[in-house]
Amino acid sequence: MSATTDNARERAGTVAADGAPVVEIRGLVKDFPVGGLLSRGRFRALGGIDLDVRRGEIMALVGESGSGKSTIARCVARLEQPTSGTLRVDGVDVLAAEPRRASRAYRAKVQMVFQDPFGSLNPAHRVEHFLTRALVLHGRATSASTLKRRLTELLDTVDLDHALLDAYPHELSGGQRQRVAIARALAVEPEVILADEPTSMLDVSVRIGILNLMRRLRDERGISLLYITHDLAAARYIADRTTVMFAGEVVEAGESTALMAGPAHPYTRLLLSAVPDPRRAGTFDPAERAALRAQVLGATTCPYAADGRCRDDAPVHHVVEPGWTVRCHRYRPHAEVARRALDVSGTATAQTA
Amino acid sequence: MLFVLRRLGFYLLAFWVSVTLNFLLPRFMPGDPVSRMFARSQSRMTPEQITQLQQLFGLDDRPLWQQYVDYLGNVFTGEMGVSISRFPTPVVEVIAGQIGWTLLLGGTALLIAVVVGNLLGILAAWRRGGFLDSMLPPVLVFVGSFPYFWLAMGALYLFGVSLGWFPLRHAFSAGTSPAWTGEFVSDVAVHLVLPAVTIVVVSVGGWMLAMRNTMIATNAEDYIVMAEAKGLRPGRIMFRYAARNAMLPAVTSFGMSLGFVVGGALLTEVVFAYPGVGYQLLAAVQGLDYPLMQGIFLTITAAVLIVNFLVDIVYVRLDPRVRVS
Amino acid sequence: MSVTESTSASLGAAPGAGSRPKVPRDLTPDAPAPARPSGRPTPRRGFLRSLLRNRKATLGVGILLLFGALALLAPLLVPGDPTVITGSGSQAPSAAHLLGTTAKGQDVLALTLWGARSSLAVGFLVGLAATLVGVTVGLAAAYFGKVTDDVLSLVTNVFLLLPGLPLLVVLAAFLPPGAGTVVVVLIVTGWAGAARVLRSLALSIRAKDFVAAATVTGEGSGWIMFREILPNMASIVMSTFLGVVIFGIGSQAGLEFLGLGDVSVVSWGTNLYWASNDGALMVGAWWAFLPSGLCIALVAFALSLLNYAVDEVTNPRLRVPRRRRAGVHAPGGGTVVSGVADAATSNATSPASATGHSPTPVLEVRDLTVEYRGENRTVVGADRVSFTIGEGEVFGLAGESGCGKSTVAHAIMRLLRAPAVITDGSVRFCGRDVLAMPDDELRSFRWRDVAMVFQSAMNSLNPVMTIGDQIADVYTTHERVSRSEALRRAGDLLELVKIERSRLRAYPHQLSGGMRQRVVIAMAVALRPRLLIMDEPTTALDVVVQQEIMAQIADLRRELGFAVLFITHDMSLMIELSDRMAVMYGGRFVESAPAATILAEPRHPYTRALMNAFPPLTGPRTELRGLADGVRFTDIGDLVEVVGGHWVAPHDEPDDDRHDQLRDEEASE
Repeated sequence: MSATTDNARERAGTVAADGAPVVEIRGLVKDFPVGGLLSRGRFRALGGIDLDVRRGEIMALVGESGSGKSTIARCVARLEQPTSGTLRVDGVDVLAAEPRRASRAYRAKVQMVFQDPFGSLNPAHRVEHFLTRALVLHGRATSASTLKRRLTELLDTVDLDHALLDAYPHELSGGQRQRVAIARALAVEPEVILADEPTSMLDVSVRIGILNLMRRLRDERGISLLYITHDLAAARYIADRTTVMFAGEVVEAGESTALMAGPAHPYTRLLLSAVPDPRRAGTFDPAERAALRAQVLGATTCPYAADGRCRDDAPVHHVVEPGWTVRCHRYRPHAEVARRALDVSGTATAQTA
Repeated sequence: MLFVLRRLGFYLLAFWVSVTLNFLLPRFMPGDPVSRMFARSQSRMTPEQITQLQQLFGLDDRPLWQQYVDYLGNVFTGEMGVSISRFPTPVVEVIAGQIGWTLLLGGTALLIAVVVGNLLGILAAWRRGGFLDSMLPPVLVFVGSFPYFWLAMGALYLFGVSLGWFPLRHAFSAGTSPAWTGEFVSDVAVHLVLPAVTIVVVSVGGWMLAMRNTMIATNAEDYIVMAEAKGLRPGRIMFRYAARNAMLPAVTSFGMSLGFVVGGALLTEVVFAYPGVGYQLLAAVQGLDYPLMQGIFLTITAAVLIVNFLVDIVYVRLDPRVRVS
Repeated sequence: MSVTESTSASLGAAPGAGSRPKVPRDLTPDAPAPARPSGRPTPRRGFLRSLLRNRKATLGVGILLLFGALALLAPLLVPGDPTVITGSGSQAPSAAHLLGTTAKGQDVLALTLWGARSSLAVGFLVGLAATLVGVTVGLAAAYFGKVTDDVLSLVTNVFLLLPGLPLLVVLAAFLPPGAGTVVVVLIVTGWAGAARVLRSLALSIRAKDFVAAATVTGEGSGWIMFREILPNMASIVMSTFLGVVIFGIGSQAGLEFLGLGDVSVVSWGTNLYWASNDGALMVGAWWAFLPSGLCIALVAFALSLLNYAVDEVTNPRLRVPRRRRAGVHAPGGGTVVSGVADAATSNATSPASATGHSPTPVLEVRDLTVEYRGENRTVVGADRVSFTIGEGEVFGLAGESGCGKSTVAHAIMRLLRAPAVITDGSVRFCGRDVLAMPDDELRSFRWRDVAMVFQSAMNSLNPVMTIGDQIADVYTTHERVSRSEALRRAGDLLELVKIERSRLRAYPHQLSGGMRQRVVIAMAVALRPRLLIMDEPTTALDVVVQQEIMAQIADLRRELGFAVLFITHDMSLMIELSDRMAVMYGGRFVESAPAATILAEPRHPYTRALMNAFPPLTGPRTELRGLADGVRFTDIGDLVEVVGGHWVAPHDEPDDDRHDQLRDEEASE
């Protein structure tokens, strides 16, 4: 084992104790310009996001397409410039410290794995190239022999055959490509990996393997993960905490299993009720689901817009339990409807039988 | 609507660029060719004509910006001076007398080439591996590789000189005068055959190949498979579903390649002594007739831009997705 | 051909539109329907190699090399000044003058060979310079982005619009005559075509994830420009270059023919100028005229061939397919091998005979075998697949991309296209042999008896037709009703799926994804088919919309009572919806049973791996296992019935320890 990996171990050891955020997002806003030269408009993709990723934690960010979840990752990866808000990594306000471009030191802390492994590996290069560049750029391999050792270590970590170093991306399967992409991110020994739907384009049977690999990286190396997905089941499977996004806003955040057992926000409820899960005991009452759906997907983004409260003052985050917040005026403790949605106790089985 | 306005603005910009280019060329080119022209033909001109040409070509002492403003004013009011080679006819009149023939020749040839080429392309892509798909493209590419003027001369030699099937030169027989009689119209038609066919033969391959390639891409779209699954008749799928979509890029490239077709038509006119602006352009070059040269350039540019604009309007009709944005 | 035409054709084929190849390398090819251009820039090594294997390219390169050699060797072959008068004027070809003499008495062969030097040099010089400008514009646009790009693209488009030849003529007339002038003038007029193509290419590559990935790795801008973006432009840069060379050689000849170049230089263009000036054709001296024109044409032809080959290599679909010898040519180009053997005798141990759901199955597929016949190798897309679907039953077909599930779906409606060929087996719909139907019968069978919902609603609707017209098409074709009646019924259909009637006039892009899929579903039930094939109908949709669509389908099924062949990779969804289901792998069925049985007791390791990909939303979190990358099941045997109605392909037990077993699979790889 190399010294750095030992460091990582050490880091992992201290992690659980401290629980301080490694990534701290406050009031993040991102507007995209729309239209041409004559008709400039703005589309607000993110409307003031607060989000923490703690050290050694897997945080899942779930939401449907267009909810802005990928935009968050791209802002943190400094691929997009946020319109406003602060971003702290290791306590440093990076947007203030490095306003134009991210420094290489920042890149060494924050890495990203992209959704499409077919698009994120340049078809003109071999696998060795991707890993070597990452190692050399960040001074992780200064001599030919360390380079060689590091390369094999990386491949071992992500369970890839050493022979694949000479392969071109088009010679690999989707799962293998995503493992290369993960190895490239690991090469710089980052503190945080942003994983933007890393499994959604992979064959179903290899998806769980990638999830397991990500969890192993957290367990063994203490790497924090922001795992972006539309798949609630996968989020529940891998993530310690889950944040739910809807239309550019965080609507609910909390410990994954608790949140999914009793969602507080109507949108989270709707989302959960729509996920097919044959193991779920009772099927959600179609009438209730229809009502929820009509509310959430109605003319506005808010199901309860009619009472006008959100127009007058912005909803605050209610604390459901410590570490579990929901952002809605209408939140009332003990939302019975939601609890029934995912009843596992078996009381509802009679309904289907 | 916004789309159309944007395009209009763009074409105005393009025209402004070509006018400015025209303004700058005689003023900044080395060797001062315009002075040579004046030296040769000054004796024939009236003082007003000389002053006008001097202003057009920057041989006076006014500041450059004022020359430029005046030049723009002249161009937009059609004041382009007198032609040297057809002295003393004004440039505008020379062009007006010949643009019709160019439009007749260019328009006819272009229409035939586009229609035939696209139809061949559609059919070739529809029956992959058939005769149209495998044999015709190489032949057309080969024929299309010949320069317009060379093929025109070959056609002239073969069908005009050797076989005597078609007249050798001009748009109508010597001695007849333009009139709306059946006799004259058929005379014009006979004179049109060789130059038009030359242009069609050279350019049809490009249209066909472009259409074929787009059609092949379109045929792989899900909506074509869906149309087949719907049990529609092949003809309807081919035209209403496949070709209708494949047409869109073809329409765009039509505008783009117009300039090249015009160039080919000009050269063809030269070979057949066809009395259009292309033929006149050569005469202008040989006679150092810079006013006429510039006038023809601006006229052709304007024509190309107008056709492009019309194409854009058609495109908006054809593609509902543009209409909204 | 002009620059714009040739290069825009190649551009349309290459970047952008493509989707990712879905097939893991060693599996079978994917379903034939979404066979899009790979859209992926071809890696250079493979690109050059396949280019050299292309016959068009070899011919093109051969011709170019020949002319290159002749041009280089001209001083040796015909020494001395070619313009010197060596004989009497206008002599026909003879032993002394192989190509005759000009009106002045110059040797035409010497003029032609020497002419090659100037013409080729000018052409390639213009090509190089214009391509260089184009690459610079492209990279600059990609590097500096928004404002710079706006300006560059505006300038490019303006220059592209100015008519080339008149501009050339005017420029050449004002500039002092000379060979250099011609080159400069040609570059000024020729760069825009190259720049337009290369700019949009560079921008499309700039937007790719691998560029973002390189940024995140910490690469600098210069590296990204020249090492990440540029290498992927190679093939298009090449075809652009070839296009500009064609333009250069042709335009030079045109200018010189008009007397606008330096007429004392010997080139193919000036040769033709003098031939025309001397009235060579009028006196019948075709030999003064023929060689130079033919040379121009041959070189341009060779360049076009090469260009065409580049297009074909980048986009293999453009290649002319070989026609099949045997087989019925179906309308869309699909092929069915005639004389398919009666398959009833083979493979007796199939679940087909054991449904027990309905005495007269709606669909009966037996030993269906589909091959993809490539140029070099044949891949089996579906291998002796057998199943039946009873009246009103929902039969699920689960598997991953490339497993052959879409192939089966397309085969049932005979929608497969070359190179896919149904080589064996039978498809019977209510007793009728689908594979033997003549074209007419097949057309009326489609949609009236079996309809299909494709994966992507956006792509399965014609973007330039209103959805009303697209639904009406079904009625006017199958029921022969008037268009207004068809539209009225189309409106009823829309209301059936809870879309307003006024939407008939909408175009697909004006609807949301979920609404489009509902339109497609409405269209599918237009003729009340007895079987609906749904090929991943909700894969592209968000989960809430997916739930809505599935509820919609359930409602329609209650009302209309059609059977469903439901294809998806989402095991949870499938088990929720299907009565019976089968799991497919590598063209074979590995397991087939009632859906509840699969949920409770998946037997085949592959089925289990698929199930594990969908962790539960309730209960304790336990570690799940998938297939390791590279695990393959080979030589899958025929299904064996383990319990009544539960069929499994033979596989290695022990059944009790799944993890160990998966490790065995990995080890055996």
